[in-house]
Amino acid sequence: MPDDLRTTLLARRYRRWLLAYPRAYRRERGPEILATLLDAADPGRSRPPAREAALLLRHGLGRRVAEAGRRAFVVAAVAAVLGGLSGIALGSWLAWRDVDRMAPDRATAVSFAHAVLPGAFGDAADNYGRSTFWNPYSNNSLHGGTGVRVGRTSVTGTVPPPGGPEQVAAAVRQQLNAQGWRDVRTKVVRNGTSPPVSVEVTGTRAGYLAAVQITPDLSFDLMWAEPPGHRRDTILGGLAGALLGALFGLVTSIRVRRYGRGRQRAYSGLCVATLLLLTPACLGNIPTSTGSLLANTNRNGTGPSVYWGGFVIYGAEPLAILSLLPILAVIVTCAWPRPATARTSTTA
Amino acid sequence: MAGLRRPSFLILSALALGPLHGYAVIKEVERLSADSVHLAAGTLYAALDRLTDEGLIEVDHEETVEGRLRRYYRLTVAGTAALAAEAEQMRRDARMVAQRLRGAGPAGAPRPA
Repeated sequence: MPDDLRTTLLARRYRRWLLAYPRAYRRERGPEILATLLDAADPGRSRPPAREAALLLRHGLGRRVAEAGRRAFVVAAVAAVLGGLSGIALGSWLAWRDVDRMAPDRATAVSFAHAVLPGAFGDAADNYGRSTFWNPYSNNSLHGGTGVRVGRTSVTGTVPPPGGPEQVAAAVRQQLNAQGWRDVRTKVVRNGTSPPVSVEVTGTRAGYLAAVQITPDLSFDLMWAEPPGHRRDTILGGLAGALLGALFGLVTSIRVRRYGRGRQRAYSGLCVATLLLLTPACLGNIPTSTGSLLANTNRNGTGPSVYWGGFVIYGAEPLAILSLLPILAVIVTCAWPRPATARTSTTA
Repeated sequence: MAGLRRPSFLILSALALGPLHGYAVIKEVERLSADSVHLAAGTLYAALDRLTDEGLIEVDHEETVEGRLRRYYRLTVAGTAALAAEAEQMRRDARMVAQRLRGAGPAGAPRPA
């Protein structure tokens, strides 16, 4: 390759890395830095060394941070957290939209109970909430209730006389495995070294989640299991929300600096209002191993995980909805054209 | 002022004899450090920005050679003073360490009258 062509290629590639710098800085210092980079390049090189490229990227982004100011990054970080927690809720909620809105029917619960429970049981099934999810004291309104609960269909029976809870649990587990239930797990609750207070065996099959509880009584609860893409959608929702939140915070806080003090004060007020309105829902939506902090789907034994609990808790729901207003106002504040400067006309 | 980091110290030292452009600073730093410090351009310009912001160096003049822009930097009065102070501090530190290594007594101990 001729030297001229090689140098041209190298210069073009260095210019791409220089894009990491802010435009104004690049305009002022770009030709000088490029000249130094080309002077310092080894003969025959047509690609920038990785170390040099990494340093240009680091220094360029550092200049951008310095120019954007600390406030922009604080706003971006807070917006990323709020966006991430909101995105987790949205991703989880969308994944659950594919599941039947009503809890499993009674006939199905009784037929599964027949095949799984070792002792005598009744043919009647009770519904603990008819919907897949319900929210006590909400009356399906937007003010929120006391936390999302899972609807379950229950069949009760009696523990067969010869066996203790652990023996019955082993029999249930064997039945579940034999009939193709997956993720079969046993949870034993004890007080110290005494015999178990209760034993719970859970498993999933064909979109159902079964939980057999062996206390002095025997009960079989049937619920909908988490949809297959639930975890993936929840994580993707969180990542997308965090990214969008960070971008929104960064872009708006940089853009608003072009305006006067009045509009900047309005922007700060709107940011604080958004934070105050979204914080209760987002705090309640912090993820735990069994769902979000304020989801009560594991309240009556094992239940499926949901990650929008913070957004349906009493009081947080209307505030989260109201937060859309300051967010829209932020967009308008940053997009509204600047008032034209007054011009004085001169007459001859 | 806090002590200078080694790349900054070497860059100021490189400029002590007169104005230099970016690539010349890189070469001079290599020579002064006996080839132990190789400044990348990204590192050099980060340091030049910092030293300019601190008022230790300033732009002297510019020229274009074979289509490449060269901007020359020189020490300011504050930069010369900072470099001299740093050199004096290093000289004192080096003397103290040498004394301790020779076992000439604890550093900072009063000399016998």
